[in-house]
Amino acid sequence: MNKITKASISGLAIISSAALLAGCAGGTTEPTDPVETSFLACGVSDEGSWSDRSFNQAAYEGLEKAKAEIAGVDIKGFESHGPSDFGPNLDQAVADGCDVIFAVGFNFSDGSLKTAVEANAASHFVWIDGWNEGWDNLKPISYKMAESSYLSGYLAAAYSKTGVVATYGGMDIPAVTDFMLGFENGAHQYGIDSGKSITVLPWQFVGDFGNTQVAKSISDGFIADNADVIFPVAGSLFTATYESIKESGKDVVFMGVDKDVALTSPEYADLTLTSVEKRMTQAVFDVVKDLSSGGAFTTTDYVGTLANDGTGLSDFYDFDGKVDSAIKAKLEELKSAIIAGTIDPTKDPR
Amino acid sequence: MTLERQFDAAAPIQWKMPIILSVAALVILGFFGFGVDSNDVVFRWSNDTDAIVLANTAINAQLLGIVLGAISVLAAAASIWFAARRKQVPWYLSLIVGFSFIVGLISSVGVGTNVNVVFILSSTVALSTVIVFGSLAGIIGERVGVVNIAIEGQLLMGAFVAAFLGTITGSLWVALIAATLGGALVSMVLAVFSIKYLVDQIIVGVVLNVLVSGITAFFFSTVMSKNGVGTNFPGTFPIISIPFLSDIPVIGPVLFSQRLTTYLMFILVPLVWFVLFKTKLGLRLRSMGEHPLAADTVGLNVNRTRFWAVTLAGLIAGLGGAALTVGSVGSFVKEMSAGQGFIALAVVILGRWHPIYAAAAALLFGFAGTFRIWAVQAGAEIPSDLIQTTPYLVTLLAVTILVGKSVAPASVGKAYEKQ
Repeated sequence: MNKITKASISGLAIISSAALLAGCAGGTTEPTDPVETSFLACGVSDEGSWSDRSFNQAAYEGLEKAKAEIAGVDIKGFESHGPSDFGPNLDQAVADGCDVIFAVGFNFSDGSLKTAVEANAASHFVWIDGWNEGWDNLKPISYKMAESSYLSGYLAAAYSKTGVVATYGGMDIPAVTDFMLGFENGAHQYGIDSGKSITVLPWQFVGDFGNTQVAKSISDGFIADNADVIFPVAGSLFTATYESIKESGKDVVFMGVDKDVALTSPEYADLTLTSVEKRMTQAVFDVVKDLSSGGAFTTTDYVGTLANDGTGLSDFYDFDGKVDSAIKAKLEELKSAIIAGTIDPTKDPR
Repeated sequence: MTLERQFDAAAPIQWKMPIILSVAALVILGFFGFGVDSNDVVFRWSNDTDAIVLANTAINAQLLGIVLGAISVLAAAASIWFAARRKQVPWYLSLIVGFSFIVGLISSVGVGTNVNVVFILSSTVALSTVIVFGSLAGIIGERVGVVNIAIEGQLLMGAFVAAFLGTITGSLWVALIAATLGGALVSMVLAVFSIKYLVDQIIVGVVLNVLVSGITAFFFSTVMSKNGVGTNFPGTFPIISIPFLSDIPVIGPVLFSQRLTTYLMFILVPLVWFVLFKTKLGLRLRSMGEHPLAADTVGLNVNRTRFWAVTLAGLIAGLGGAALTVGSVGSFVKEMSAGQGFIALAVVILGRWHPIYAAAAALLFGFAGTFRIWAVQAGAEIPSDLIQTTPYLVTLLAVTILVGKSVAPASVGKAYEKQ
């Protein structure tokens, strides 16, 4: 018994030290260079953490890019491991004297950001995927993801051999359905243009962004109903779709979301037709660059669109040769039409 | 129980079962029968790639519903007959009504379109696999008197180490073994604190879940995301098709064309049942959960046995974790256990602390999850919010219909101190 207990306790010691490490990550601080710093840009992640292969990571890369490319800019990241970390992290960022604080994600709508913004009138906040409720110290960054998703839907329908395409989301929230709506409308537009019969299977929702088993069953169901292009709008869950495709042995591809998946997760590139990018890196960088060079803080929305390259499709990489050049030309044409406002990607073309 | 009944002829008639069955029968007849359009529903029995392709069956959904309803009404009537004579309602009557209910539900939603039977069954097995592993771990733990709230954490740990070590070593076998050790390690912590230091089992379990969730999320963020190819791309076990058996239409692809982890589940369920209920070891284990003092009195070392039983339970839960990664999607995703460990806890109770009943209950959860997906895809004209509630509705029905009085092991959750 004694032996057992000793072994177990040493195991426990390892676990608890790992937990301590995990706890420490709550306030990761970049090594600072005190001499040249004149502008401190900070970011607070949502529970996805800075390395979520998705929007938190993209936002943090924007900060890193600013630090690397703009003289005098220093950055600090505050990782949240749950909604209960939002408030303390925001407070810490204020206390550390950040010149601008990025709150990353729709999830800050839980009230934590409202409290921090209203309590610290002198601090400047930027809310990604958020909005302004009449505050004069907050700038929202939002995206028109339906625009680029429309292009992806058009491409999906054109690429499809079966004429069946499908999309599923992590949760039924506007930040997700915006993609899905654009995708569906784009696919139908191709159906109209080509005269082919295009089916977009009914939308599915996993219910969260972690349940790989449900995501896989949804993908299996899509494939069983002949879908051959799948668009998962569910963070890392595209990995479940990838495996579902491999298992089916059928000629099916999927599309990445938020980041250029073929580039950031090259192990999945062989089935990634393209990705619908939410280019937060650029947005964050632009805002930091403007403010650090003496630009005045405004509360005007930064809206990521096709026009300002805040969103767009990734390169096709391996699939470049498999996409008809006529379709590529058509995508450019559609892009111009959306930018010009002659196509509304949120409107059903039928 | 039966003895009591024989002696006490004037015991009150048990109307609960007949009432439930009658209501269910009327629902089938009304909603799935007369309430459905007189249109065809097509049952698809095979995929085009199967060895033997069965022809689709088209059948009038209204007619099917009425027939199923009529059969259920007969079964309900029979149950009234049994109850009125103070006899136990035979289990097959509930089975008939339950089966009719599920088929009626599917055909009424699928009217005008087709029902992919193989997909529904395969997905049901896939969505219940991890829950089955978790519930086995829960059963073993509670049978020896330790509540294992940490199943969720054990699954997650198993999934994580399988993906991580599997990728680094390039061996799926290492992944599998590492997963079991990972799960067992979490279990050992639970065992040490609850058995040796007498800390409340529930509290330790909850803390462990939070801990594992934090640790895996931390490593996912810091290590796996930076280098997915090198740390989080283990691949999956090949699908093993058992010769001949896998060619059986419908059942073949569902049961005999699976990965190693799923086959392990098929083996473990009867194995755990056999050991717990048919061997001397099982009797001893169960005595720890029912009456540890008695076990102690006859010379068994209660705490040592509990320790190793809980460790074994963690090992099985770790296997469930491996089923999530190397047995299903390959890579690890943050929080990928997604509450299945907690569902497993519910399944333990629903399955009355019995491996085979628990597996059946897990299948029910798997079916409910599948039904939700399938119903949306079939274009069910039911509001999506309502469809999302089906898993819970089904569970609620199952709890009332299947579970009579569930009795937990008498000493579950209580630490044993030698007098």
